[in-house]
Formats: sequence, structure tokens, C-alpha cells
Amino acid sequence: MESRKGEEMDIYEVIIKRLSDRLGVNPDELDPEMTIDSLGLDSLDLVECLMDLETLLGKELEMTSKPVTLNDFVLLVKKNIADKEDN
Amino acid sequence: MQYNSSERKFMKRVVVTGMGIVSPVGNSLEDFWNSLKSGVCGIGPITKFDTTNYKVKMAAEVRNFDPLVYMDKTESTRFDPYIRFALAAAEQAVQDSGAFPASDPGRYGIYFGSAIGGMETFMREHSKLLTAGPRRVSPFFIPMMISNMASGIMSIRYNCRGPVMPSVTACATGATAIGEAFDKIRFGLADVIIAGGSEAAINECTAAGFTNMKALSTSSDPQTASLPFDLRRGGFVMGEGAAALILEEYEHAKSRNARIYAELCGYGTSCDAFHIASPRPDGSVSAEAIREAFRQSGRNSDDLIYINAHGTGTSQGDISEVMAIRHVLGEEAGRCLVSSTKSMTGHMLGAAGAAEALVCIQALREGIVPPTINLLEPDPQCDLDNVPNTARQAAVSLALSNSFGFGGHNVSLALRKFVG
Repeated sequence: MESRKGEEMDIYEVIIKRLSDRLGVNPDELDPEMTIDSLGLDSLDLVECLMDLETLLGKELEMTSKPVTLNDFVLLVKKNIADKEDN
Repeated sequence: MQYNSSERKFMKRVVVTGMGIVSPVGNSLEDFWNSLKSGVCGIGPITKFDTTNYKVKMAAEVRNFDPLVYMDKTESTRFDPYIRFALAAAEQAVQDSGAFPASDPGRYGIYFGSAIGGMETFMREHSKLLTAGPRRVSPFFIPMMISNMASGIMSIRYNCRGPVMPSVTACATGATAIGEAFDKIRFGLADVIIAGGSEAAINECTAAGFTNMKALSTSSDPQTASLPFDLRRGGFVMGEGAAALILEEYEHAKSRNARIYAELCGYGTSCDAFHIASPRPDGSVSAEAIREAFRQSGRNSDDLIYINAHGTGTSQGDISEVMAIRHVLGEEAGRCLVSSTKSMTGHMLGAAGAAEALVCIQALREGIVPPTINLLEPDPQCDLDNVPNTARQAAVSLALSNSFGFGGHNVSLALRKFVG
């Protein structure tokens, strides 16, 4: 997979694509306010998703909090990327 | 000699009320049993990896298995194949039994093992570690690789909060699980247990390891690869799959008018204390497992006995097993029917003991003994009635399943037709 800079891609879309693949559903069926639990996802699924994003972005990401909704997770990733870029 | 009076006083009766299977000869009980009765061979060229650089060319792979019948996409993606097979077999058995949802979760348990566990997961993640470093190893690596996880996931699925105890006794795993679950119920410590074994270890690493032990057949012909009791044999054929039984305390089953397939009536176990992989050549210790299972079963001279042999198609294993049977039964051994269904299923490793318990139950129910197929040059040292090549009608009243594993584990399970 080609490494890309964070600002060049829509993190939300990448995450939704990755998680919808795992769930076997169409990305359109996922709503940002859906909870991780209600989707049957485990926190370890999110860690795996972070690992894919690390590969994609070429930078290390951390689970700094426990997201409740998909949007929480997207914000967590975006904050992670922003923090890394500040450093 | 049956249970003595003090044993009988405390023991509960244990019956089988549900069955499920995923195997190289069928992914339902009906398909599995029809294949075995018809002598269908489940062995074929290995498709899971390129065998060009491997001496082994044949395996008994599960075919046409759709995990999405039994679990959702997320689970299917996460789970190691050994867990997928296990859950499929368990779900079939659970549905078949009608014993769920658990009426008293603390009295429901799981005894479900795997000899090798999540080897495919292990190999994939190890490869990632070497090529991409430690940050790329999946967080699911440990939970999907460890061989107790099929039991763990079943306990969540079916809300079984009582004894959950996977066994790991190599090729005796499935039989040990059933035997230990049987003990738990007959000693009054549980009412319903999902018992069995699963394996999905047809891969490059196990193929290489077993091959270098000289344990595997290197035949390139499916019909001459798994040859129990035949002079042409050259080792076992790797198989895979899972089998599950619902074991239930008799009064519990009766109170809900359950369909009862058979009664589990004996469990003998011993360990060779001899060698890491070779059986004790004279069969004297495996004989003790057989003797104990028969003792508990109340075997008598009127019984027509079917023994589903461990019979893997290694000369040491086949010959020592026949000696063990002769140690116990003497002259009577000649009147028993002793077939090895591994001639058709290959060796399902940790699932074998459970799959073969199902064979015994079906033989008791239908009065049909499945054959040892491709038995064309019988080994004179294996001179029992091995039911060569075609199934036989026989009013079997007592069935025994032998399972032996690396490490010297010997397990015999005895089953009878249920008589209320």
C-alpha cells in the first residue's frame, strides 16, 4: 500500500471503509453516531484499524482513549495525526 | 464387571442429545454418515498451499464450508479456522439438541479442545513480525491462536457459565474432552456440556514437521494414502474439521422429552509413559484404557462390539492397537468389528476422537458399521475383522472409540444404544 500524507486523504472515509469491510456491510450503512458496541466491534478491531492507518500514513498512532462512537474514533485518529505533526 | 454398587450409587447416567460435524466427507451429520457408509474417501491433493517443495501431497481438507451460515462476517474474519469449524459443529449440535438456551447457566459447560490450535494465525502473524516488525502483529493474535478459545467463545455464545475446560491431548483431544465432560456430568457437577474437538492445521509448517517425523504418507494417490491395517501403509494423512456432542444428564434430558441418540457408558484413560511420539509397542498401557472403558460399560458375552480404531495407518500405531485390543478381549477380539474411518476422513487430529464418537453413535443407531476402505493387502499382524472396503449391517450393541495421542495419551470411550 502506498504511503500517503494525512492531509491528502479523508480519514473518516478510510476508517469507514476499513470497518465496513470487517463488518461485511456497505459503507453507506455506517453512521458516525453509531456506537462501537452496537456494531459488534471489539476495541481490538479498532487497534487493528489503527495499524492499517499507520501503514497508510507512515507514522505511529496510539489508542489514547476508549471511543464510544465511530465519530469518537475518527476524532481520536485525527487528534493523533495532528499531535504527531505538531511534534 | 459393570460399575460396582458404590460407583452406581453416586453416578448419574449421561446421554447424547445433539450432534454436529464439519469434516472432509461432509459438513452435516447426515452427509458425514452417508459418506462413511458409502466408503467415500475425503482425501485429495492439498489445495491450501503449494506442495511443490513438500514430500506430502495429499490431505483430507474440509470442502464447501461456509462459515457465514454460523457466524457473522466480523467474527468469521477474526476467528482462526479452527474456531470457525468448532463453532459450526457446536451450533449444529446445539440446534439439534433443543437443550438451549441454557436453563441454568451454571450447570451448563463446554469441554472442547484442539490439538494444535490457531496455527494458521500463528504463522501469519509471525510472518508479519519478521517482515514488518512488532507494531504490525494483530491484537487478535493471542486470543485467536490459543487453543482454548473455541471453548471460550462458545461459553459466550451459549451462556454456559459452569465448567469450561478445553483438553489438549494431541490426537486424543476430542475423546479426552468427551470423557472429561462425561465425568463432570456423571459425578453430578453439570447437567449439559458441549463436548468435542476441532482442528485446522493443514499448512506448510505442520506438513513439514509431521513429514520430518516420518509420520505422514507421501503417496500422491488419494486411494493409497490413508491405509490403516494395510501392509502398503506409509503414515497418516492430515485431516481437519470439528465435531461436537451435546452430553446431558439423563434425568435432565428426560424432563424435557429430549431425543436421546445413545448413552455414554465408559471412559478409560491411561498414558504410555514411554516416548514423545511412538506408542508403547506391546499396547499394554493403551489396553488399560480400553479395559476400563469396557468395565464401566458392563460388557457381556451377548454384546456385539464395534470398535472404531484409532487406526491412523502407521505400522507402529496399528500393530500396537491391535495388540491392546487382544490384551483386553483375548479370543473375543476376533468376533468384534474393528474399522478405521480414518481411511476416509484422514486424521482429523484434535477433532478425530469426537468425529469417531459420532461414528460409533451412528453405528449403534442404524446397525451399520462403516468400512476401512482401500484395505487390499491386510497386515497379518492386524488380523481382526477390519470390515474391509464395504459397510456391513450388524446389530451392534456396544461401541468403543479409541484415540491415542503424541505424549502417550490413550483414551477409550464406550457407548451403548440408549435403553430407558
